[in-house]
Amino acid sequence: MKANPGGLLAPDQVVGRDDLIKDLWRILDRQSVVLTAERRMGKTSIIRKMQAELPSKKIAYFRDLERVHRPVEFAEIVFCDVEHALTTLQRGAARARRFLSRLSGAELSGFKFPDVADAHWKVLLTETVADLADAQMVDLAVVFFWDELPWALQNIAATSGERTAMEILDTLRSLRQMHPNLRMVFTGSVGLHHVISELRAKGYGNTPVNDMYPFDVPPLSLDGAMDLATRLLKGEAIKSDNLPQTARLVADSCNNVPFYIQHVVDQLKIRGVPGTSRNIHAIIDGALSDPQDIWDLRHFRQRVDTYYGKNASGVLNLLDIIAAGESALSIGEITNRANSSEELIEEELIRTLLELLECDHYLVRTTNGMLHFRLPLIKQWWRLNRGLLL
Amino acid sequence: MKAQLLSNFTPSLMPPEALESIFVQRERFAHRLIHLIRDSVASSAKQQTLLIGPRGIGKTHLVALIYHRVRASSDLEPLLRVAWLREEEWGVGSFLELLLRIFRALNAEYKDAIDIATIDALYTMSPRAAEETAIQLIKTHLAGRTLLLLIENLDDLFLGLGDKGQKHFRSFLQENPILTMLATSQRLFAGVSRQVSPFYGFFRINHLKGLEFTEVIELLTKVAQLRGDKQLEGFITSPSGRARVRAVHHLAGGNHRVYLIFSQFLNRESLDELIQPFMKMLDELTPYYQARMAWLSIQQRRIVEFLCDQRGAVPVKLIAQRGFMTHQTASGQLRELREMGYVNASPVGRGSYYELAEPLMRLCIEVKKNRGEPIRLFIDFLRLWYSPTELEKRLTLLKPDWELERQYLLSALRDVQENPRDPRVSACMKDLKTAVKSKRLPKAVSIAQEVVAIRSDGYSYTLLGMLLGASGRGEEALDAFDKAIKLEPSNRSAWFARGVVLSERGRRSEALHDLDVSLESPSPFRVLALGMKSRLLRLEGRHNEAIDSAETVLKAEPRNATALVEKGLSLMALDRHEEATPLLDAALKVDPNNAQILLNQALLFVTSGNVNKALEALERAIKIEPIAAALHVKAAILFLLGRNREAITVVEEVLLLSPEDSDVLTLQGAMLRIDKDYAGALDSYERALRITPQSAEASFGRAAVICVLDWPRGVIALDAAIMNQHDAFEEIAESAKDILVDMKGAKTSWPEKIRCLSEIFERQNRLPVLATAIVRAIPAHVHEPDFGQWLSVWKEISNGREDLSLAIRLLEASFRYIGEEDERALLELPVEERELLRKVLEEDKDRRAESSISVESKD
Repeated sequence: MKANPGGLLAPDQVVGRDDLIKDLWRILDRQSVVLTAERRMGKTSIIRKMQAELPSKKIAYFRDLERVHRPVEFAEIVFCDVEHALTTLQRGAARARRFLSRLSGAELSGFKFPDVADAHWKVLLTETVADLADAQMVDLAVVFFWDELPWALQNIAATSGERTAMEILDTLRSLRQMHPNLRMVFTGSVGLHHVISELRAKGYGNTPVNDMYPFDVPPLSLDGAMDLATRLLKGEAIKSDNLPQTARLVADSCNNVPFYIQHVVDQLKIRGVPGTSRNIHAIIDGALSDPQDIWDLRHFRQRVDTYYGKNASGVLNLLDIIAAGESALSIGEITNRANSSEELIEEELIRTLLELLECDHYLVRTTNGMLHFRLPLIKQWWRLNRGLLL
Repeated sequence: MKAQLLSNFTPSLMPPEALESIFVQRERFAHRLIHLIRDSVASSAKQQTLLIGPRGIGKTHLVALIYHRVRASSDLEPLLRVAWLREEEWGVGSFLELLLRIFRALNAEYKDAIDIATIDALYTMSPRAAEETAIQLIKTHLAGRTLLLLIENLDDLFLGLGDKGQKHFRSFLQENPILTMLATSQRLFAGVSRQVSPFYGFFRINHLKGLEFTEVIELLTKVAQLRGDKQLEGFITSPSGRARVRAVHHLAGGNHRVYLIFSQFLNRESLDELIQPFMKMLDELTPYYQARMAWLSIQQRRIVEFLCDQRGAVPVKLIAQRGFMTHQTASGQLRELREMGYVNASPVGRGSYYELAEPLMRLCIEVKKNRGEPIRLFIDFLRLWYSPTELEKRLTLLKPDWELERQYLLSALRDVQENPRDPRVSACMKDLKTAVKSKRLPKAVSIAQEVVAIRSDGYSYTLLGMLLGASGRGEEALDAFDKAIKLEPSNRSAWFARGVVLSERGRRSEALHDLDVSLESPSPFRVLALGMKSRLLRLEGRHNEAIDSAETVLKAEPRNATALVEKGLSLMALDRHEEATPLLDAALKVDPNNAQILLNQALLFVTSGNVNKALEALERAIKIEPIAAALHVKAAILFLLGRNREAITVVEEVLLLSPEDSDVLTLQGAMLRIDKDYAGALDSYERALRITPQSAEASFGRAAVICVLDWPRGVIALDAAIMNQHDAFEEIAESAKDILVDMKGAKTSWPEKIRCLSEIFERQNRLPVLATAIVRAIPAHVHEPDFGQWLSVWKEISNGREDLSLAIRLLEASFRYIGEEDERALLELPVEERELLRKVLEEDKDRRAESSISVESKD
């Protein structure tokens, strides 16, 4: 297996996620899922693998929705996939087609909706899914994997207004409730909670995903990370005196994050050096301080401004405090340290910001309520980047 | 010279052979890229690579090379389609248009790959329908094959696509794993670097680096070979050619294209051959640098313009001040400029100094700023190109009517007077410092040779000599110093450095002379020279002068460790051990981790009989640095303590460090002999003799061992050794004693053997030495049951041989004292003989060890 940091992986190259996928299918047997994870954790690879290796009695469609800018485009995509699903049963999306004929006065050829359909996207979406229900596919669940849904919602909010984006979320929730065999998996690079927060700021009061299971994708297990590292080291013919030991070192040093593991092996290959501890650490140290930011770490700093707006400076302060700590800190300790600086932050706001930082995968909470950086590598980078190293 | 298409600006027009023939630096990377393409073809995993680098860094060259290699791979042909979107793919405003460009590229590559009529039909559809149909078209055309998309200037393409187009493109790629990309861009751009961008983290990003100096030489050599320009090829490898290339390197900042342009006139000597191509080059490069300026924000342009006006690196504070910015703003902008490759930063203390990454940018911008007055920049260029001597020579050769050239040359010479630092030397010195810092001495020597080629002065030769000396090329170093001293007899550094190299080569009296000359007037090396002089004087046995020299240093620097040690060692040599001890202690306080001082301290402990403390000091020394001398002394002490097996192990360690040390081999011989490993001992002695044939200790040790293994041969060896080393009293005595000791237990043969021995010693007139050996062998024989017979045979032999009479008296006394327990036997001896015998009987072990350990200082 060749290193492929950031590129598209073949399903059989998605290593160490079998148990997680089994869990996801188990959850999908009963409800839909919001799949969240830090970027680089391999969400898209996981859902692509799920789609490629379907269990029995499941039909699944993978769509990257970032290209969707108008709600009708979204309805069109769903229509296209439902038609495909029904074709296998020698049927079509009759209700939707009928509705379209009424609208345009002509029968739809192909999958492209006429321009007149733009204003009727909600009916089209509802009718399309109703077609699925009409097919009475007992024991056969249809799963829509919708990657980059938050982006699509942002696009739609920008082109058709926030209200339309809110309607989409509400429509999807209502469809899930009406059709028990329908499953949706939402994922995206931008946290859905941020989009919903933005909509809330514009008056949105619903909880559109509270029927969905929030599933967070963690880094690989150590075994999984070692398996990935071993395959890559072998595949790239990296010299090593002790392959299991080298694989463990790569996995450990990369906090079991597949993207970083791919990068380290890729760099070993490019540099033509053996997988020694010295070489591996040199690559990681170089990546953490690389002015070109080859590991895309700078976004951990940059997105604070985008995500947290007027609270950005407070969030930076909180992250600095936690990064500077040698071990995990309690909320009380964080509050004390935060308020020892010139800018006072209310304790309640600190709690809210810390929760958001957990949602955004910066922090994790231990069982006794202490907070620390989720990945030691990110903590190290944060210290370097923010000049917190003495 | 061959006419060969060598395009400076459009490598994609070059034939594949030409591209291959001048390809340098990135062979491994190209191999990797091909590998990734193969990987994408073989599975549904698709590799996406983005090459980042400024213009002229070789992006298109690399892409063109990959293109040709892929197209030439017959195994890839049925599995892959290649679409190369050229640099000038302007006007792509949507994903659909991108698909249309891909069709065009495919049709250009594979005749009528996609039916033109079908493509034309797309224009009649709505954009959404056309996009969907185009996607189906491309999938149908590929029919399971992979599409390799080569895209140049991806940043421009993405700019045209906009957010919407990029999102469509990425959706297509995510839903259809059929495409692998190799793209290029001049810089990182928001479309891939911002977290909220669709293609964030999508590409494997590779920043292409500029050429290192050695790679420049390789490139220019290949270019010369491609052009069939033998003169240029030869010129590049000469020191003056390398110096000129280094000057170009200083200007070009690693940019491939600039070297290609310069290669056209690198070996031109006359001014008129130089001016036109130089100006033409600036003309060619100016649009490029103007375009680079255009990409920058106003603040960044202001910074770059300010740096263009500077001739060196400047601190952030000054940049902020001159740009009317806060320090923070300037730092932020400079960081971005650095990431984009416009500026270089050098850390100085807690801050950084910034300068333009490409000095040519300064020249090009200056041309535009001072339209019609390119004097300043050309003066700089002339100074880079010619040494002051060459400038003067060219001035004298000018024809009277060549006024413009005269003006240039005079200005350049005036500039030399005002600012005598030669920029070429500065460039060399910068690289030389890096080479020395990274301990790449051969490279440093080669750069110093260039400095000599540019500026044949005393300083340059001294620098070269020092580097040659540090590289172990002593004779060449001496030659360089000779030249330096001949050119500048008052160059104290040259005298001092030559003294150092001479002393390293064992030419002490010459070294002392040079050091004395270097000390005639103040120099930065004064203290070092005095310290070294003290050492040389000590090694010459001139201990009092050595002490004087060390004291001169100590007056100026009372805590100078070298002087403290040297004085201490000279005092040790003069047996003034008590005075030496505090000096070595003081030296260790100054430099506690100096293994050499610890070693000398150990020797001092040995001299005062404190063997355990000596061992402790040696352990500390060895822990700091496993120097052979410390291990050698440790082995000798262990030998002295009778811990022979441990001693043998330590000696083996010493020999790993210095396998050619004959003293250590001789010591090993003695140890192995004691261990009764006679064959091993013989081997050690013979190895020692191969290295130092005159070693008396090894010669007699060898003879004694052969006597055990093969008596007749041993006697001959002993006879020969005595003849060759007639005056080596101690070594002969020890050897004879060993031979006598080894006779212990040889029931029947020894009387014959000692008769034979005494004949040899008598014939060689060395009977007094044999007498010493007989006395020293007493402890080995005195407890033997046949000691009475031993005594009577020796009495018989000594008959008429006065030289043996003392030895026989002591043998008799021993017999009575030990054998018959008659105390009177000792008392009847004269007091000096009595003491001698008592000492022999009690201190045999110590005496043996003393002969093994030299109490001379170890250097």
